[in-house]
Amino acid sequence: MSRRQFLWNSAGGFGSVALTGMLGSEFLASSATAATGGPNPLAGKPITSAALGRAKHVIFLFMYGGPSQVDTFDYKPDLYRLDGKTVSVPTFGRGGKRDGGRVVGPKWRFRQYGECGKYVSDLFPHVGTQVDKIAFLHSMYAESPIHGSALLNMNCGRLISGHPSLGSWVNYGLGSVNKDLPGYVVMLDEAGGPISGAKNWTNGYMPASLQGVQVRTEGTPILGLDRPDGMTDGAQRALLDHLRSENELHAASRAGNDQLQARIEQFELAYRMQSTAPEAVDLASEDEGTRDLYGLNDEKTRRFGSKCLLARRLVERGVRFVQVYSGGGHNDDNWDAHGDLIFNHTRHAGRTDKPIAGLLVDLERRGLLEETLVVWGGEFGRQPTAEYAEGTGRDHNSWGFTMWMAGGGIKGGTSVGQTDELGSKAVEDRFHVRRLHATILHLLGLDPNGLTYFFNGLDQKLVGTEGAEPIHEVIA
Amino acid sequence: MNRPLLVFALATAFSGPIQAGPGGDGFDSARSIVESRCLTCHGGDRRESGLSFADAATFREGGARGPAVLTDDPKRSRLLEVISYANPDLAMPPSGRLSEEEREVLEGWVKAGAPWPEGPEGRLADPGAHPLEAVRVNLEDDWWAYGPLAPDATPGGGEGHPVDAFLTARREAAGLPCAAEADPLALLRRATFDLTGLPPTLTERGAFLADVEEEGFDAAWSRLLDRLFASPHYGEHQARHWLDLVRYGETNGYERDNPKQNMWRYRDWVVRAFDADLPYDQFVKHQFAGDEYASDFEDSRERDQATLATGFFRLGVWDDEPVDRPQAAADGRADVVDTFSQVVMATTMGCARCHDHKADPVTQKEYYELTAHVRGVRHYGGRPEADLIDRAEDGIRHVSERDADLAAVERDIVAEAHRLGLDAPAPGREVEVLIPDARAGEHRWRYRFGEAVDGWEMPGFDHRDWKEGKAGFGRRGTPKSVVRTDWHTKFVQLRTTFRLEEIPDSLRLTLHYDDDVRVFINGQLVMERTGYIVDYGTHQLPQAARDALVVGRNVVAVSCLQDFGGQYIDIGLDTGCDPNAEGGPVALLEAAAAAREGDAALEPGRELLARREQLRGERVNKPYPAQVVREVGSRPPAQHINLRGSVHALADKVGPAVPMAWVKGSSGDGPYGAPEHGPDGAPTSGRRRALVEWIFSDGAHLAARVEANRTWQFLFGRGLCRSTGDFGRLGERPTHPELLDFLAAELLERSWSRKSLQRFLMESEAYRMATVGPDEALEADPRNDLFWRFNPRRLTAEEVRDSMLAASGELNLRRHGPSVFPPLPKEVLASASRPGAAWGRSSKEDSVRRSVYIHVKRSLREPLLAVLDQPDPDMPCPERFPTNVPTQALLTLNGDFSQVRAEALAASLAEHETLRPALAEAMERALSRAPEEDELDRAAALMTDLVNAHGMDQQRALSLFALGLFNRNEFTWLD
Repeated sequence: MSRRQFLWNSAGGFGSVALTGMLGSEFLASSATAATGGPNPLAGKPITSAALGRAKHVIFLFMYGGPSQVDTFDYKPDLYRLDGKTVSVPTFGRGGKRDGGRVVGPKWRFRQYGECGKYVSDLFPHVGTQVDKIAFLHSMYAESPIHGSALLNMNCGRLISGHPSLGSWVNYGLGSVNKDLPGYVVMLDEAGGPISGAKNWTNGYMPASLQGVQVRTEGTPILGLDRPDGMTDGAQRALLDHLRSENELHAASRAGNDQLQARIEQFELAYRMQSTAPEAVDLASEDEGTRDLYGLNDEKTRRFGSKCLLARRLVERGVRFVQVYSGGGHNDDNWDAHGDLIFNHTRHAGRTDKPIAGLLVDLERRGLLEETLVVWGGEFGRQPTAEYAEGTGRDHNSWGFTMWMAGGGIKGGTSVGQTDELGSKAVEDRFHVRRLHATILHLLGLDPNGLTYFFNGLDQKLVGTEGAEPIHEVIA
Repeated sequence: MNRPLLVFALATAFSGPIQAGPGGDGFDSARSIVESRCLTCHGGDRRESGLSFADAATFREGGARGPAVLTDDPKRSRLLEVISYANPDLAMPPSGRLSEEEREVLEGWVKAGAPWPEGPEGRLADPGAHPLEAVRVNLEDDWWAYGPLAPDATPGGGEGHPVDAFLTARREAAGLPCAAEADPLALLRRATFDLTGLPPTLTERGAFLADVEEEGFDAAWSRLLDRLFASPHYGEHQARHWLDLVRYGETNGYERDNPKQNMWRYRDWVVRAFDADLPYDQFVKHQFAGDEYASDFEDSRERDQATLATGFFRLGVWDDEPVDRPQAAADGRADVVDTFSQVVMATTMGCARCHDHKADPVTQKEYYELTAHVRGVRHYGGRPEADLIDRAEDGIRHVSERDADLAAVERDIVAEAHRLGLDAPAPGREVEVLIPDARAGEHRWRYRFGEAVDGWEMPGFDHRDWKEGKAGFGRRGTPKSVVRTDWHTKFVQLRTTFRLEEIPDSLRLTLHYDDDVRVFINGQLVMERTGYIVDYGTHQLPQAARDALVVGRNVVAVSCLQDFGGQYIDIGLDTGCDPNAEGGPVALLEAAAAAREGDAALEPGRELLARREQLRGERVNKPYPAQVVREVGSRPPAQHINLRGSVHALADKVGPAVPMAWVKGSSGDGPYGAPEHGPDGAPTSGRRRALVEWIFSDGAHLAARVEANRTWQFLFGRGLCRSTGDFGRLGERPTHPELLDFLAAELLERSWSRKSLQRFLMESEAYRMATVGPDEALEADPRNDLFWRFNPRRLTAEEVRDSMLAASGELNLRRHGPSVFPPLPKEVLASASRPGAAWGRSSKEDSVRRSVYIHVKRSLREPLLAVLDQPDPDMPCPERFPTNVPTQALLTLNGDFSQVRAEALAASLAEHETLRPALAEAMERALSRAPEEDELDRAAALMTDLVNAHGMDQQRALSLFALGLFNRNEFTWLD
């Protein structure tokens, strides 16, 4: 088998791109070609000397709708006594730009946790116990306070639709180490997808093999994974054996088209997935202690907990990038607390607090935390002032919000950046979304300013032509 | 707006001797910041905006926008401005703001005159280093893509097909043998898919093989091509290639992802254009400037079609709630410019939006000069739509033709009424406008608010102390009103005069009132109405009203009363006759015909009335909304260079021009000229038309090269230049540049007919080669650079889906029309933010139409098409890259779509009484060939196994076998 054939035979499957990282670009430049002899867009780009990143997987817990920073992790003691008072502070949300308004004081008490003494609100008592693993980024800012474009900003790096998502970039750069499972998995909320749906896990202009694959904890785990009614394993195997022999005969007289063989392999992989994927998603095989750790025995936390547990099982099996959505659809089905902040955040924090803490504990005790980067946050945060004359609802806020990261080479127990005293706008060490992306890529051993994909005459980057520095302050 | 940069352009440039030696005045401290935060982009291997901190000399040169430091006024230096982050669009470094201390260091250094040691001591990087600059194509260089066409005589003295002469010459030079001709069945399948995207039917196969048998291959091939080029399904397949390029989508994307109303009409236009072989130059001209070409056509259908093509401008994403509206509008223009330049000229301009192109001779200024052509185009948010006819209604009369007939009949009715002595004017008179209403003119009235005074309506009343105002009077917002004078009180009286030379035989009043109105002529009440109406009405005034007229000065007086709600009064008066008006000739003739039943004198009148009814009831081709381009008017706003692509950082103003790279190989001699603006009152500037006119005349050498290459690409599997959307330095060089130029010249020779060029290519031996050839050739040229064989290709997503439907016998071949919504798996619907409202529901028949008719929703993709590499619709896709992942196999094995198709195929075989003929037919339908005997044996063995060992009934087993056929490589791949 020539080197080229070796590459091609591996070039099917979900594992294809991993080779680019292992073999280096020189090898690929000379031997990787598309079916028509054109440049192979999967050929990848040189990986820097930092290639051996500490993180090998990412679990992105996406709090869709935008959690309020001053009610969760960004402690603003002065804000309580301003409750109900009118202040002058510029804001920009879905309601446009305003000069100020009525302060809604934080609705939860903050307590100190861990050795670092981090203040965390009573919305997250379980996550609070894990703060020594966590680095908080209090001075995040994004380019848009509107869900549609802000989601694209957080997931794809740009406000303009059509660019590949973070998970596509990670898999493009590193590939998956498991050929039986997709390298990029998305788990949605039962309420529905986020606004813009598939745009949030799109491969953009990259090959379709890099798009996020939805995996479900209930029903069919992966689209097409279930055999149709009445088809037994044996019958399917008989069909596949027949198909294989016919395909082999067909390929035998067609030298010079390695894709035919590669496709034959795909059917075997698909067949294997029918048993490996259900095994991967089979949470019943977890012991009772673990199930309880993720809140699987409580109706409130069961669904999000199942996804967190599944995320762990997937990274255990080599999946590179898992994105788990908390919240879907519209209004109070996600963190978009325009009306009643207390109702909304109690609901969503209540569903996610224990599972998230459980995930961090479980990853650590299994030795997976060092190689798994956990990211928490939404597309933006919320304003310190009320959106309406009455009530506690807060409008969107992309000028300042909190995200956090843990594991995968993150320095735990740290907090960087600050918002102003109202928690309204990032003022110190402001971090653009690009900086978050750069940090994620960097921890995976990818150079954020060097990982490029050639399209439309340009070496496209997740961090844009502007480039971005990783946030070194949170890297251990 | 804060525009500090313009200041620098006027200020003195940094110059003069460096004032301090190494280490002095803070250079060393500044140096470490420059090295860590600036040098990556400005110096070393990059030089953004032309600015380089590599050494003292390059620093002194400054950047594309002038010097970084002003020695005579250091505080206002650009360097300090950008690091202050005051203007976010110019903030530097973009990767994150410098710390307070770092800024202080740089500030101190700049204020000290920014001393920088000359020579090696101040050298931070290699000033000449830039990986792309080393390879950059400059305008004066001889780059293959920009030169004039050089279609040399074919090698070998022109024997045989010219394409083969070119290819053979190269292969022979390399000593490479080539593949033999493919067998006829493979060629039938290849040609049928390449031209129509569908498999050959059993009948088509039989006819072709019979032709080969009886008349020989060449004649059979020729007849096959005749049929395929005339196929009603040719356009559907060819259109799909184009839709990839222009990023065809039917929704806006973003939060709501709302549908674009009737966007499919553009898709149908493309399909029809290919079917009709609309020459490529017109094909592009109409898409880019069809509105500016429309007036060239006499036929209203052609006008409408040209306008419809401009739906091209409406295909892209659109954020209805952008965070920055001016920037979003500029992004919209950039989207069009990038798409157009890439698709039509294979020039990737994206880089030049922010800075001069690194590798190609395209400057930032040129980018905005090109953008100036679309500067006047309204952003999508204006919802530009136009009522246009649909070609589907061809054969049915256009509404305007019917209306012309109707008008003629009604003219005859007036004449007939006149002849009968009814109150109708004599034919052939000229209509005189006595008082124009507010829709027709700005007539000045005398008016007065408040309750009427005695005698106000009388001709002798002196109204000289009344105010003067233009028609109409009322409150803005009243339906169908044209308010020029505000009237907010309860009462108003209006007076005006007109002169008559003679008493007319017809007097027509147009009237809009809200509320009660009275109209007097020379003091006599001629019209009185109470209440209000919501649009103008027309009235023929009776003889009694005309009796009030006098030769000379006539006085019209109008009063109106405001009750509540809307408020408006306006009248117009002329000597015309509206046959359909209240009290007009039609009504009079109808009354006479009814009253004088049986009177033969009324017979011609009755016939006219009947003819009128018939015309009014006729089904007509009525225009309805389509997405089209719209401009703000004849004078587009100024186009400026946008620094770093930001609309908030404007530099010099530019006018419409084309990049010099396009001009340098041009055969044209005159300078390029696009109008600054159109004639006053014109709907557009005319710039777009000027651009495409130039491209297809003086720039034709480039446009033809691009399209000839693409024509080759979609037949041979890759372009002669593989990067079909990028002929620049960063694209691939063509493997056969001489052949490409030859084909470009052919395309011009053939008046841009793509069918003709395709046919020419398909007549070559190269197109008819087998996909398997000599091993030594495979060893020597695995990429098939020299076309020693025909490239095998996997079917596209659409071809796979359509082929399953064709094989199962379910394919609905109905063409054109609104997009369809085949059922989607519930798991896919659940991924939408409004799962219940995300997708429509089509009838069963519509669900099995060709894939090109499936609704393209940006946030929700049809899963089978998406997994089989149909591109994301937001960006132009010049070449699909087929991937190979198990999720494809899962869908084609277990997915509902293929299951249902397999069951349908199995069900359609029920008429066979024995198994083998049923299996044979299934194979023929799926694979377009008769099965081998041993293949049938194996199929029968599988059936036996499924029935005996796995307990399936015959029918279920048969559908499983059919499913296997759909998953064969032979089904999915073309030889």
